[in-house]
Amino acid sequence: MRVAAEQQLSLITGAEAAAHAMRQIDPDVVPVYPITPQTPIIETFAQFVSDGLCHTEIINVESEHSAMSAAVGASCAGSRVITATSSQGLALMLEIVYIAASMRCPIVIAVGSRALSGPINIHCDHSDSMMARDAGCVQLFAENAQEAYDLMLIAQRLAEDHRVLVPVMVMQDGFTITHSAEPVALLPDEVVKEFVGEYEPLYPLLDVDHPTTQGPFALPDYYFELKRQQADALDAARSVWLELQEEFAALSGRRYHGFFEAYKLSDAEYVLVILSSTAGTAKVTIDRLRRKGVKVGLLRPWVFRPFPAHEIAQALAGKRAVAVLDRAISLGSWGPLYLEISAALGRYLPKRPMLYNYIYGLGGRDTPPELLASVVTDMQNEVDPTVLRYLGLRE
Amino acid sequence: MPNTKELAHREELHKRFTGAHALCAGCGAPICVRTILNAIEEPVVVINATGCLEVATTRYPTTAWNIPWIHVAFENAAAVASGVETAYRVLRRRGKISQEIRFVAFGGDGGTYDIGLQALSGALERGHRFIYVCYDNEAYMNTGNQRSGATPFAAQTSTAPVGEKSFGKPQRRKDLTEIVAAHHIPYVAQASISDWYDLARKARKAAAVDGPAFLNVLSTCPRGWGHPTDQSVKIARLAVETCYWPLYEIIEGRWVLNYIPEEKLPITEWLRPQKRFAHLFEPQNRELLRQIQQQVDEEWEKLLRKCERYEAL
Amino acid sequence: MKRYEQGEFFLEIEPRRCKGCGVCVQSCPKGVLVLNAEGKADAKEIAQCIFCGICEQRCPDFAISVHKVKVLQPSCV
Repeated sequence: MRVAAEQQLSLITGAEAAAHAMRQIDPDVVPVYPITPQTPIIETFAQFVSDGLCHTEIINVESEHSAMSAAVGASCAGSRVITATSSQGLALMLEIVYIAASMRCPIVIAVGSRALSGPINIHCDHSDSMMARDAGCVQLFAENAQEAYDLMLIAQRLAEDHRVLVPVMVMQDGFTITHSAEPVALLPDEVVKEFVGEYEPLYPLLDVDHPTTQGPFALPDYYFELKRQQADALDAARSVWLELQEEFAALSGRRYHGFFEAYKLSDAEYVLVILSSTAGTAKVTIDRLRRKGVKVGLLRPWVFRPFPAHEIAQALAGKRAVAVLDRAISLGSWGPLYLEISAALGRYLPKRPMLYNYIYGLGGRDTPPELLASVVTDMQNEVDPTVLRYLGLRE
Repeated sequence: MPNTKELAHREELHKRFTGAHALCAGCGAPICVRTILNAIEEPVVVINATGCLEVATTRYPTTAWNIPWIHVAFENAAAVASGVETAYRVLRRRGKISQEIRFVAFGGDGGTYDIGLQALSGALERGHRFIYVCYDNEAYMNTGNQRSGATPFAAQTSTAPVGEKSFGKPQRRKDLTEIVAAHHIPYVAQASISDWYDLARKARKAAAVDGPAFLNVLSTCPRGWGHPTDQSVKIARLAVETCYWPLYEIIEGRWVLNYIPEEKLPITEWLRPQKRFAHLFEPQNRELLRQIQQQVDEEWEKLLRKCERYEAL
Repeated sequence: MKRYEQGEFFLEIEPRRCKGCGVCVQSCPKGVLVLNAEGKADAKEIAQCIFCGICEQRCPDFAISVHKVKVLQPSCV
């Protein structure tokens, strides 16, 4: 067992933290296009490249569609590739994100989560990443700048593991995380270099002595099997994730235990399930309620794809009530995280807890502790679980 | 300079692109591809936009390509090429690759004039060293002859059909070669599958420049244009002889004309053998024929004024 | 594979690859090639062939090739 590396605390934003991770990973190619709130990631990184701190070639493309297209080209060529985007940029990329996953490109995509238009809005919600949830990527959600940094490093290994080989998206909440400075412990450069290692592509396009045809036309006789292989790759990502977090914990002293953070969960009767930065508010709320004797806890998944359905169902077994808070809505249905958890509980538990769904924070709407406390009150009052509720909305 | 024997010799050494593909009989695209690939001496990596050439040559698990080949989508061949070429430069700098490699992107006119124009423009502006080849058959042929920005005025297509109130496509085609030239890239050329020597030499010149190069190659489509399969090369030749499709190149911004017909044939010589123009020969459409001839004459005169010199290949 | 010899050159046609488009027939400057009863390329007048290679270069289907007969060294015979 190795000793955790010496780490210095730096006061940096989530965007800067992601850029530092990129500097230390030192990818070969970074095709990228500016968009708020992702832009400070690439601006910070561009300065690192300009200062000669890494050997990366940035391609300043003319759109996110071309960013992902160039990323696929560079990745298939045999190089290590990272890109970054938000919202409309991810929407424009999405056609090629699906193809990147099917061509098994281990591209890491840093996402500054932002609401999708329209109306146009630059603030945080998860409608962008949720739109991409079926694309075949691993999806990781960071709560704060430290996690944004750590998850970028783990993402690189996860993507490039030959059992996985799919893109990994690392989400950090737009502005709340991307633009807020926090103390972040950065690993020494050489420790990261050793952790991420060299990318070893299986079939590099540029191997002209062993030519490959990449991205061919697959008809009904093969398409289905190729899709099944992608499903298997995401399944394999589960065990690789567990292996990597052990390794990363030994390195950094920071443990991403399992697939989700369980905060005061074991003895909780009431549970809030929430992704990303609002979990910080939820912890404050839970502490306040605990002081009043309410047994409430938090389950915060950091892995959304592959969805840890069995593990979450086990963790929620025997709870009185669970409220899933979604910062996105599948219009015409309910929140995407709720739908997953509802299916997981139905699949694995003979007796389900009461399950509620709240939509919150769309387009950057603030969610203070009082609102989260009201959700717990609703659960205690056993309000009707068949109603989809909106938190902090003016009706 | 390459002759047929030399091109055949290169092919014998290494068949980069092979037969048994599913392109239609008489298709111009494979003529374009094999001429270009045989003309380039260095190892080549091909980037292909979605289109006839892509679907008909790579039906999984078969392939007609013996060199590295990649396809991602319809509108992004130039962007994918940007990524491949950048990766190449980085990996070469890091000592992971030692060979000289050339990158050739192939796209049809739909993937180049229309949906892929933005990606192409971006890649040209950034100055990646690659050759973009548009095999221009003047419509979306892979999906059954829908009009594109390259479809000529008055041609019949399935989305600009001839009817009581329509004579085919009412707009003129855009001049993509000139749009590309406006990017100030080192080499731009217009060529035709009919003139293999000219095409092979242009491919070789394109491979030699240190930066982006673009070839717009007229490539016949017997099914879409409506002509017998054995006329593919001849009809491409008529486009050159009527000055509908002049052969020229733009080297570092200087325009060079490569061919002046001894006797400029009337445009009807090119139009008549193609069913897509059959309606133009009905008496009520005589005015359209006159307009087309006038357009060709004007374009040709304009080109003559732009060309600084004449250099037959 | 059909083989047509003349002097130190020979021409090969692979009928399985030929789609019978006729581009070679139209391209041949000497009228050597025809489409036969099966609609495939055939070198009917091989005696006229000058082995210029234009048919090979223009065939969209890689069905025709022109070769020089390899002169074997005595030691190999």
